[in-house]
Amino acid sequence: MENISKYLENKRFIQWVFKPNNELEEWWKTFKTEYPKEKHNIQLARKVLFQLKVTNKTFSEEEKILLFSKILQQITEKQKSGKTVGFIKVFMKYAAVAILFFSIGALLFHRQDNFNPQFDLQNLAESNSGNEAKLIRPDGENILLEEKKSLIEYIGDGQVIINNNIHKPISTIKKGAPELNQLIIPYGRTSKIFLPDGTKVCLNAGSRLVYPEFFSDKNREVFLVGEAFFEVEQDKNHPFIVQTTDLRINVLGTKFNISAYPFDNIIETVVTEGKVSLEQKNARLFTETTELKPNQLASFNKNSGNIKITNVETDNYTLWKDGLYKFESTDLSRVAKRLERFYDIHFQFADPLLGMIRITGKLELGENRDEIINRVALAASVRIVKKGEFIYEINQ
Amino acid sequence: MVRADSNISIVWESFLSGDKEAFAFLYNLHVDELYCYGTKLSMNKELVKDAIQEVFLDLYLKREKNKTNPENLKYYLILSLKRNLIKKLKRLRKLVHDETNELLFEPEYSVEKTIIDRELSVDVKRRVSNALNQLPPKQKEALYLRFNESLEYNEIAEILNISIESVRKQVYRALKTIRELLGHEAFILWLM
Repeated sequence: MENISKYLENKRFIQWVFKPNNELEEWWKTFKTEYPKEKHNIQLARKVLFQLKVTNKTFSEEEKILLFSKILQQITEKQKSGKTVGFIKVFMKYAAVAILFFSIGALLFHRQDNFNPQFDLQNLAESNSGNEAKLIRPDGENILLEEKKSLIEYIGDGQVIINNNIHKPISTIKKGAPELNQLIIPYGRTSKIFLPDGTKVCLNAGSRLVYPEFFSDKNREVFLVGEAFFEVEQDKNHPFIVQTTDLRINVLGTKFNISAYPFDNIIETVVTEGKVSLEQKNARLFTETTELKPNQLASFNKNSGNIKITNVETDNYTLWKDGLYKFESTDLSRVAKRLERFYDIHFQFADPLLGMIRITGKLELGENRDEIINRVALAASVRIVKKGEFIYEINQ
Repeated sequence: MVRADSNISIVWESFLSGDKEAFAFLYNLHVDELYCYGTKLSMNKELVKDAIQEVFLDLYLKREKNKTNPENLKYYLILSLKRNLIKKLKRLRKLVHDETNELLFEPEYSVEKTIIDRELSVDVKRRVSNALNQLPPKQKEALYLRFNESLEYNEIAEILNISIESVRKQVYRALKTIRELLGHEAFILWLM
């Protein structure tokens, strides 16, 4: 019982057995390949749960629609208090049929494919960059960023200050066709950049930002891999757009955070001020444009294409830019991932399910790496053992 | 099929403002679960349908006062359905002078063998379903709500009107029994 009870208690596992879908199927498949030793336990736990499946009486589509039409009819009766006429009954029946079908389509919007193809090539050139923080300018010059936290600022006329050094504008650029800059920030580093339009972007560890030397189009478009916090300079005539691998975020207001790491299955967008709207890429025939308001989090699942919106404490998602990390009932695996990126280290889980332990707290990420890790261990009631300079193991 | 969990908060907000399409969406999303659960509490299908009708009618008419988090809507509806059924059955039983007020949960455990347990012998399979059928109705209901509907322990406790601890215990005990009845057979066959 010991070795399978952790699965029997696990919501994600239960749902996989009783209400399977592609997403869960894939998740557990990955889990089994990652932890082959668990295969047998999983098989057994599944078998136990399967015994609890029950047979259900079926409720036909016709019955469902009829019942719904009765409900609608009663609502109308209650609202108009008494004035029922014979034909309403007939009318409602057809209305109900229509509503049941339209409720599916009406919540979805037709998609327009307006992803900027300009960024696609950049996207494919995935990290052959090694471990150096650098800015690749349109003319091909590589500027290495030595500082742990670099600062880049465009001050007009194409001049840019990088960590207190002024760099001259690039002469070869013809007006009208801006070329792209690529800012690459590896694990263990962060960066702050003021774009040519004054927009401020804090780039988290393990991220890259592609942006034009100057904004000339109708839209101000940039491309992001990884995580960044944006404070967009207002300019109603030139909408600001952040494109990621799967999502396009249209900025209607000002401050928001996007986390779109290539190895994460979920792209998260959180708004602290103003509004943004999300648009999906490579979508099926129908897709949604989703508007996001302050204090809302949109979790976009890359596999299923679903967007889930929840209300959140935004600090938990944005304080990293000030070197703080706040989390509330967050999976240990997620917290570990954060620390991995920030410190460029690696955690191994002795038992993968330990990653599902939820912890709450606040960390000031700084030089005191081992102290921070000890505090996480304490909060999660696990042991974290240092296995090497950059490797830690998490035990029960 | 509709992507069930996408944008539920948006749907919920439109529903609260009176949008009937959003209402239809929520109805579609949960009506099957309610019917399956209801028909295990009472064999009387018409009674269950009436109860579902009233639950949704109430949901719509009293939506402005509803503080439910849309993520927990399933729990909210299941609880409302159960309360409604209890009320209805009490009324019926008064008419026939029946004193029992308890609603008995009677699921039918699927006997057909699934791919996953094709290597189980008929004998083991029968012993398991016998054991399950002999469990007290409340325990069966707890198991159903926990696994078939994947509700939380505190939600189940609320629906069954017992403590969270005893829900946990009952679920654990049932699982242990199944595990033991599956016995070594499951192990050995797997190793081969």
